[in-house]
Amino acid sequence: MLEKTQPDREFVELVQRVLNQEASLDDIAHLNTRLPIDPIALQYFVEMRMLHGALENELGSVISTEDLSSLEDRLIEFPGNYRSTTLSGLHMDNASEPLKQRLRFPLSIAAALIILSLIFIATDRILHRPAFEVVACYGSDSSSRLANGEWIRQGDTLKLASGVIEVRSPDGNSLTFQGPGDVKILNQRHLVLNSGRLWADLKGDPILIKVPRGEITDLGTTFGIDQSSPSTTRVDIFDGEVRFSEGGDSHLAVQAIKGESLTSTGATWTPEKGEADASLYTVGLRSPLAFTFAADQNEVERIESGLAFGLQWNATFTMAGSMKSKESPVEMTWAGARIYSTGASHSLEATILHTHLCGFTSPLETQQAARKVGLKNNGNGLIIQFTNIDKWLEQIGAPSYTLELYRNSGLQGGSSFFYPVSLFNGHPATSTLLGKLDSPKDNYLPADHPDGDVGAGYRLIQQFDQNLTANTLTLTTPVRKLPYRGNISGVVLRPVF
Amino acid sequence: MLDPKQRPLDFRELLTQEQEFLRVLIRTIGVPASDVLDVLQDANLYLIENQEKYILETNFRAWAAQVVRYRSLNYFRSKKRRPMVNLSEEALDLIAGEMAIRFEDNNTRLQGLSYCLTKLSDDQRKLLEDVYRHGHSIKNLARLRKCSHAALRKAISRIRQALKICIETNPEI
Repeated sequence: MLEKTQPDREFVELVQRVLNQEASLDDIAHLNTRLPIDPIALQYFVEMRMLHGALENELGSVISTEDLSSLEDRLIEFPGNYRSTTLSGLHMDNASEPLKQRLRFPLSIAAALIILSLIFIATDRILHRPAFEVVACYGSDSSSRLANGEWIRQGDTLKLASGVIEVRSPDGNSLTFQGPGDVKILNQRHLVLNSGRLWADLKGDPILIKVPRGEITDLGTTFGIDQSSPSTTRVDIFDGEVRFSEGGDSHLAVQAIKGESLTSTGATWTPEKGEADASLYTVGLRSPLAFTFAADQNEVERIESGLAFGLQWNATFTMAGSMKSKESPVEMTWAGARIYSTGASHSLEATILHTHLCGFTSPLETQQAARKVGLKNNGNGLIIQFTNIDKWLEQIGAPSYTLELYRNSGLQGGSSFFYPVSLFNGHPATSTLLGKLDSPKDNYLPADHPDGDVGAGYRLIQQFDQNLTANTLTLTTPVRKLPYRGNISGVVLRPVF
Repeated sequence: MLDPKQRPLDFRELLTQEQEFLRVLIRTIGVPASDVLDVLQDANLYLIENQEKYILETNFRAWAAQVVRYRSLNYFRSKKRRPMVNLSEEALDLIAGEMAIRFEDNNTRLQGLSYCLTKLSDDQRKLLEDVYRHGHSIKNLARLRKCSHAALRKAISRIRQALKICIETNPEI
């Protein structure tokens, strides 16, 4: 009986990428984490590497078992002279010496050519070192057709007719470039953004970005640059500080901090300060997907211009409908009884939490509302479904994701409790229950939280305690029956790498 | 007089016996095929120069595997390889340990590879040759064959999986 040595599909694919020399930094990091804790994965990895090596021997021109005879020549240099005790039992044939003499000149020429080629290749490699690894692409129509795991080298220009590409440097800087536009990578710390939008999340060395209207220097920060119009440069700062200078011989420079924007346009260089707006940018393709319910269009705009909880939110103010997330194929479809707001909006985080989708009190009502948006419902209080998750995971190279819920009971004090939320792989009527996200009866956000105010209901942020891989994920709650509530303010799908 | 079959192998014999294992280990750790012999030579040199550290009749393979791991790490450092091809020292240790335990079994199975290759279709065989003999990257090959990168990657993955199953179930081995 053969021992079962096949690990999960994601790991099998990861090993294939290693064998194809297409493994990303994440792949290697995952391998380094997985091998010590998973004997099946370790065994599989070793078996596949050995098979790979055997295929090289069998089909390729690389070193084979027979070539071990050449070790004899190498071992001659060893102290103790092992030449007399050959490893393979083969000896150099002295009769071949005249042939060697005849071949010496052409071989020398060939060797010289090879050395020249190697020098050329080495020079080219030094001048065009890998600078950024492509870690995610969405709808990109780049001239070079980049794929995840490929490297952008020093001196390369990245041109996008459309779509978005996220790249990362080995020191941890992450850049998300939105087309149409082009950006030249001089090296890891120096870029030229000629056109397009660029989101920078910098955890590594500081970088300098040249734009048509000057230079932008990061001072340990997160920011976006909007260069979609040739005559205007806009910088939006979300963390840390940024210096925008005119560049060249000019000493003009302006600094801006978190929450501010700088816009330079027209004949005068001097930038105007304003409020930062995240909605102009794709804040990293590998970022979590966040969906929330808002009170009205004004609140939608407020939420989408900021980064509450460090996330870029997709917001809606309708009680039933369908919404595609920004720069991802994932779509949310939902049906609930109403949108309800409770509490103040002192912070952006409060704005996320205080408006929520409420469930129906009758199963029939839910069924009717769900049917209108193309969902089947077998009698729950509310229903929220996410589709196309596989495509998103493939786009960003993540094997799985986790789920977070942002909730509000809608009522103050000890008069209301949360219902558990059921998670289904696929549709609840036809597929399996993944589990229930039970809610605690305490440990809600404390009253002194910045969003605490008269009218604020109990608020709760909770996470489903397992890595998910479902392509279609459905959330339901029981029909509403006081004092229990199934209200949901927001849902976050967080990729696991 | 001790029967030669019963007699413990001396250092030289042990080193000779383990050459194939060490070569495969170096390749498995991730040293490029073109540099395997250089690292093996380096490891052999170290083993010979430090042979007094080896205690006869203890596990020579495990000791040699540790030396190879160490010399391979030196190689990676000297070549300043990009981190994307580097495994952690812990992972390399585990690979070396796993190899030391399972080398014979795996190697015996791999002797059925030639037979299993004959079971592939012409197209599959050609694809493998393009990758292994002609050294094409999957990306280049996809361009040459005018097919998608993902499709080609999947095709090669399927062939490797089929070969793995074949060598594991080959009754001839």
